[in-house]
Amino acid sequence: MLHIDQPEDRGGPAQPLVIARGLAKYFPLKRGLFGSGGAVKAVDGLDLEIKKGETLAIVGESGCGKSTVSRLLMGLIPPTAGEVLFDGELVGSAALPAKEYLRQVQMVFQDSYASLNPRLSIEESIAFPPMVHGLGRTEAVERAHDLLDAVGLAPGLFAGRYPHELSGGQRQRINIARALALRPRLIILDEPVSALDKSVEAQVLNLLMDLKEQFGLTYLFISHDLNVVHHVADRVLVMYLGRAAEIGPVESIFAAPGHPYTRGLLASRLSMDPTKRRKTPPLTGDPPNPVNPPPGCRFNTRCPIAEPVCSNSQPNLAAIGHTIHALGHEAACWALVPGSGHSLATRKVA
Amino acid sequence: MTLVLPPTAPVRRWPRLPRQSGFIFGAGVLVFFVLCALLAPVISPYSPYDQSLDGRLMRPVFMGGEWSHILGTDTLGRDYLSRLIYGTRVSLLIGFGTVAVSCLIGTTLGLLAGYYRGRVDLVVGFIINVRLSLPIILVAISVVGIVGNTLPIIILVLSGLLWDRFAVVIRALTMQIREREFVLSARAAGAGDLRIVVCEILPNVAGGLVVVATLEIAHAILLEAALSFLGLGVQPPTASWGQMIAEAKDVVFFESWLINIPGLTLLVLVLGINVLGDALRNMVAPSGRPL
Repeated sequence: MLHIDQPEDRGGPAQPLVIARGLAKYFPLKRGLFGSGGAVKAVDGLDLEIKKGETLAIVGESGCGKSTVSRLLMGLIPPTAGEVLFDGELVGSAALPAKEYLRQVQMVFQDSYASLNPRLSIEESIAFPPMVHGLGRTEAVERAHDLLDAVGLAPGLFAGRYPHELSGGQRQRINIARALALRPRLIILDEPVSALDKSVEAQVLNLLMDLKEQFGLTYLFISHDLNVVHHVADRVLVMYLGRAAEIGPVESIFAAPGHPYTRGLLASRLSMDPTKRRKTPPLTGDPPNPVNPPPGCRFNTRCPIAEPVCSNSQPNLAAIGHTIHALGHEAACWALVPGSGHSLATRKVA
Repeated sequence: MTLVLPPTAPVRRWPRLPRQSGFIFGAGVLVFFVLCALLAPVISPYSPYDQSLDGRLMRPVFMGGEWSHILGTDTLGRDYLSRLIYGTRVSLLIGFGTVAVSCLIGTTLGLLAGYYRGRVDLVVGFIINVRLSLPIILVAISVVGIVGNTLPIIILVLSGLLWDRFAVVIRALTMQIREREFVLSARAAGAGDLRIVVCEILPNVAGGLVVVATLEIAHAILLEAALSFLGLGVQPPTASWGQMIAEAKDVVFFESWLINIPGLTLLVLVLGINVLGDALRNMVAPSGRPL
């Protein structure tokens, strides 16, 4: 008799669930018959920690590498460089083979329709992952019914239906149920509510919050909607052009953003007060070409406070918070590094 | 949250199916001929092999013949209707047999090429090009001429020549579907390549498969008739439509109905199957989903 249950916690609560070090993914470009035409540096040296039980949000504009990060962590594409540790074990090592890791990490995609096989009924779709891992058909279907119940869809009404007969919100609930079917510890939510109506979006977000408690989950939440992120996340990672610009607790980032890019992103939200709406865009232009990123800080081409030092060398994440609420708040900006030579930086204490 | 919904109606997969007149015509023709083939010993008035040298070249009733031989008799005095009915068996056997084997070959190659892409695709593409560069009739004639012309051999030879459309269509559909997120999520669930291809991709290309299959059945039936006409089809005295046309060609200027009857029958069957294939394709396309 095979049981697929959530695996035991090994490293204890202080051990981060996921540690990614120096993660990089280059997509090589083919140009002509001979020679390579360089590579798109979708993710370029990203360090990341996801703590147990938290919701880490990754935000950034299109093309910054958010989705590539999710696919790298999912093991769907091999990284160019870097390594991933899951609960202290190197993924792919003898202690944690890739298939066992895949069972503990599941994913929900943005397009709720494309992520369901149109030829499988709802219960077959949800029962599919456990059956892949060797659970018998009867048990798998039973589990599918329990999960339908857990995501708020009556099994008697929905189990035999097909994806095209459901609404977007219902389909996304199915996708969530399927992601839960293997009892994972980490769920990667890649823009899970971006394609939904506002009212349905709220329902699905609340469902996600409930399930997190109920199933003891950790979320990696990828989104471009800052209001949603503010609502669900514990910590936020801001990405720009394949690198981390800023990371920190959600309140600290939203209240006191350190990186000029984060400030621009936050200012780009529409205000609820019409008199406070801005006339000029906070950020202009497009991100530079990721094939050939600018030297130094990648944001220097669009940064309102760029100085010569910014195009000379690349800043790394450094702690900027000094209060207890800003613990772990880090940003990669020369203007925040004492003695960097940037006019806004404090002078180095001699 | 409780949702109060009416009980669901049974799932209708192809709700517009019965309303297509082309579908009704094509399916009707096919069912008619399949029944003829299955019930041949029951419905044929005579044995297709019984010769009667007294009663040669009797005309069919609509040309002033007798009701004892509705479609007349051929140059050896065999009942033409009985031979026509038994000939259905050969045509359908060749049609379905060939498509079953060539579907297997073409779908396997198409799935491999579309799923793995890269080098596998290059190799399969090369094999497809080799096959496309071979003239079907010429190759069929030479192989059958060398190996012999029994029914299984003809089916195998035609299968080896008719799989290309399956491969091309399935390859294209597979390439589309493998990028869909449900394939990604199956992989995320830990499913291996074989399971992904069989459980996720194959059911979604099945619709395209059916469309190609109907067209290829007609193609195979025509090719068998052509081979039989050239004397390389099934062996006489087995009744086959192409054979009947070939035997009648000596008297075509005197008794042209001997060629017209099997020719028209062939036309109706092939037309019916093609119309059915077209109707299936039309039913598949507007939903916007690759089926």
